[in-house]
Amino acid sequence: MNEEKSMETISVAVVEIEEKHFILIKNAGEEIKIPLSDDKPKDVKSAFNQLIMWVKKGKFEIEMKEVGTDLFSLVAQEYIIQLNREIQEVRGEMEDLGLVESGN
Amino acid sequence: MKIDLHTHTKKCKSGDAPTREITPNYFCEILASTEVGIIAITNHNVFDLAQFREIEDGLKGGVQVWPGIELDVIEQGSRGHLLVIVSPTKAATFSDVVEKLTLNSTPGNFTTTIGSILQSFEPLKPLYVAHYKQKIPNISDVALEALIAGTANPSRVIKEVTNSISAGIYISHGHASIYGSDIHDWSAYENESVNLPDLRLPVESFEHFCLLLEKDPTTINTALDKKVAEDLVLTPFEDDTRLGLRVFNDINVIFGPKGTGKSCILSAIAKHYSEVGIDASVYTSASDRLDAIFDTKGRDISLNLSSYGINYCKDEIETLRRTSEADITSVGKYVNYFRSQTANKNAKKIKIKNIDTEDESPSRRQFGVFNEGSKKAAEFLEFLTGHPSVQKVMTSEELEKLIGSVTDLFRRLGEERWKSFSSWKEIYLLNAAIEKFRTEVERKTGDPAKPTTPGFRDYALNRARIAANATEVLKCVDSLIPIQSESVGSLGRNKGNLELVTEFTFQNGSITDSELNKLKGVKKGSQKQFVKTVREILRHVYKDDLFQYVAELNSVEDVEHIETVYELLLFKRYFAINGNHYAPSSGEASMVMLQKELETEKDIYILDEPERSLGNEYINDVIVPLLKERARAGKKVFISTHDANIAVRTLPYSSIYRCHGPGGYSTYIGNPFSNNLVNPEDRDDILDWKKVSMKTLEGGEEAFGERGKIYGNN
Repeated sequence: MNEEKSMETISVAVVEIEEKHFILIKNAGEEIKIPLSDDKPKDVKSAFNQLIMWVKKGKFEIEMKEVGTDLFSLVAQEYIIQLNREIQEVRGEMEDLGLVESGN
Repeated sequence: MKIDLHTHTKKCKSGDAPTREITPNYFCEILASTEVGIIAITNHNVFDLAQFREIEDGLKGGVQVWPGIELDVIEQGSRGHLLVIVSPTKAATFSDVVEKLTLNSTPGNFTTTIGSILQSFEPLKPLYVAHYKQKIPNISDVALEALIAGTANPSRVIKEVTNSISAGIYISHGHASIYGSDIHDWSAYENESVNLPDLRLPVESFEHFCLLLEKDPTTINTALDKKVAEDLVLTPFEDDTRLGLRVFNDINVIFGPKGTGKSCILSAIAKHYSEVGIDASVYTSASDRLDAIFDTKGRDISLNLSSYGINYCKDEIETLRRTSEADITSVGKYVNYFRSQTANKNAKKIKIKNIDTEDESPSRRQFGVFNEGSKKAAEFLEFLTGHPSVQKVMTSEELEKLIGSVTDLFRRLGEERWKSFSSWKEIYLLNAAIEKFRTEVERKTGDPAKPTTPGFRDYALNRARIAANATEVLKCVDSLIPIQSESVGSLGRNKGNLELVTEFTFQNGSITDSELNKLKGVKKGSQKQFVKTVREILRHVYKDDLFQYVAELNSVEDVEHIETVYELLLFKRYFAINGNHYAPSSGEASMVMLQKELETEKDIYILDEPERSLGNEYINDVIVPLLKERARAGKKVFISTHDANIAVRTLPYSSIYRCHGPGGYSTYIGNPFSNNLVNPEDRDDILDWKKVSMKTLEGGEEAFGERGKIYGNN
C-alpha cells in the first residue's frame, strides 16, 4: 500500500466586489473567482480551467470555513461541497490517464 | 565437391610448421566441415601407411583419400618438388616402394631424380603433380620434359599452380593444372578450402579421375549422363528448323558471333518452359529501369507501424476531431434552489430530492482493477494447465500446488471483483434514483431540486481526454522509425555493396525536407498543419481558447483523409554505399539488376548477354560465383554470351555454338570436358571447343592467356 501524502486544504470564501458575489479560491498567489450573482458560464469555465491546472499539479481539497446565512453563502457552501468531491474524482481520473505532474 | 591433391599431415622437414601435424581424428573432423570430397596426403619424402589407414577408416568412405608423397627432386642441379599420388587400392605397395626408395635417408635430407621416380612408381600408374613456375620450389622445364617423356601416361602429369582462377583440371588449354592447399596450418583449413578447385564432373575413384584427365569420351559422357538433364526440341528460327538440345540442371552456354540467332534460342527455351507452366523469361540488361524495379519513388511502399510498437491512433484522431466542449451547471440553478427553499411546503417534505449524489468513480476504478487482475489470473491458470512447457519443467506435485495457489488467487480476485461491481452499480442506481426523484419533484411541485453537480467533473474529464488523445498522437509522430536498408548488390571489391535505403519519418509539424515524400495522398502542407495544430491543442488544452484550435484542426485541407498517423508519414528512398547517397551508373545498374535476377528464387534462369555493360572483374568476382551457386543448387541456367569469362570459368556442361558460314547457319553442341563441339546434322563435323571459344568470345585470348602466363606458354 502506498502511503497517502497529506492533502493540502485550500480555504474558500464568498466575496462581494462591486455588489456582485463571487466564490474566491486562493492558492499560492493565484486566485480563482466563480461568479455567483450572474450566470456567466464563460467565466465559470475559465475558473474551471484554472482549477484543472491546480488538480494537475497536486492533490488538494477546498473548504469553506466560515459560512454565513445569506443566500450566496448557502449557495457557495453547497457548490463548494460538490466541487470538492468532483475535484477528487478528476484527480483520480487524471492520474489514471497519466496527466498529472510527476512527484505530486 | 572440391578436390585437394596437396596436403600434409606431418612436420617432416625442419622448415615445416608444427601446425602441419594433425591427428587422424582431427583430420577427419576438419574435413567433415568442408566441401572437400577428394584429398591426397602428400607428406615430404615419407608415407605413413598406418596413419593413412586410420584416416581412411575415420572418413568411412565419405571422402576419398588418396595416398601420396611430395618428393624432393634434383635434376641437373635444380631442385623442385613433385607429388606422386596413387590409387588407394595400391596404398600398401606404395608404402613399400616409398620405404625402399627412401631407405637410409630422412625426410629432411632425401632427394631423388626423375629417373628414379619413374623406375619406382610407374608400375603403380600414378598421378604426378609438379610444382610449376610460381609454385616453388618448382620443377624445371627440363625435369618436367623428362617426366612426360618417361611416363606411360603423359595426361597424368599435372602442373600445380599458386591459385585456382579457373578451378581445375578440366579446362582444355593445353595444360592440365590444379591447385592444392599445401596446408601449413590445419586450423585455417576450413576457410582456405573454400578456394580449392571445384570438381565439375563427379569423380568416383582415382582411376575414374585419371580417365577424365585423359578426356576419355566414354568416361565424360558417362559422367554427364549422371547429371540431371532433359532433351528439348525447339523451333527457334523463322524457317521452322528444329533444334534438339540436351540441357542440364546446371550451366548451359550459348555462344557465337552476333546475329546468329542466340537470342531466338533463348526465347524458344523460355517459351517451351512457360508452356508447361514453369516460370521462365529471358533476362536482358535494363539499367534504365533500376529506379522502377527498386521502386525508388515508393509507389508500392508500405510500412507496418505495429511492428515498431507505434499506435495508428485512429480512435485518438477521430476523438480529437469530433470533440466539443462539455456543459457545466449554471450557478443560477443553485441560487434558484436556495431561493425557493421556503416557498413550497410539499416539496420540502420530500427529502430525497435533496439527497446528494455519490461519487461512483472510486468504486468504478476499483472494479477495473479487480476485473483486470481476475482476467490475468484466469489467463495464467489456463497457461499452467494447458501449456506443454510447464509440465516439462515442473513435477506434478509442484504443478498441483501452484495451480492450487493460483486458483485461490483467482477466487479471491473474483470475489473482490463482484463486490466492487456491486458497490459501483449500487451508487450508480442510487444516483439514477436521486436524479429521477428530483426531476419528478421539480415537475410536480415546480420547486427546483438541488443541483447535484457543478459540471466540473464532466468538463475537466472532457479536457483530460483531449489531452490524452493529443499526447498519444504526438507521441506517435515523434517516434523514430529505424532506417531500413536492403542490399541491392555488390559493385565489386573496391566500391562495396550498393544498398537501397528507405527512411520513414512522421511529419512532426516542423519538417521541411524537400527530399521527403508523402507516403499517402495527404498533401505535405496539410500533414504539417495538422500536427502543428494538434500541438496547439495540447498546449491550450486547459485554456479558454482550446476549441478555437479544434476548429482549426477540422479546417485543415484533406483533414478527412487523415484517419490515422499513417497518413502523416513521410519517406525518402535512395541508393547508398555505406549509408551515403550514391547514384549508380548505367553499368552499375546493370550489375545489380543481374544480381537481383540471379538471387531471385527460380528453377530456370535465362540470361541474354548478361555481361553487357559489365567489367571483367565484376563478372569474375560476382557473376560467375553466382552462376555457379545457382548451378550447384540444381537450377537450369541458360546463358547467351560473348564473354569468355562466363563461358570458360563456369565450365558449362552444355555449350551451344551458333555460327554462319557459306552454307548458312549451323549449330554445334559440346562441352569443354571433351573439348569438342559436334554438329548434330553431321556428327563428323566437329570443332575444337577451345579454339572456337578463343576465336569467338570477347576476352577469350585473355581468359586463356591468363593460363598461358601461368605456364609461360602463349
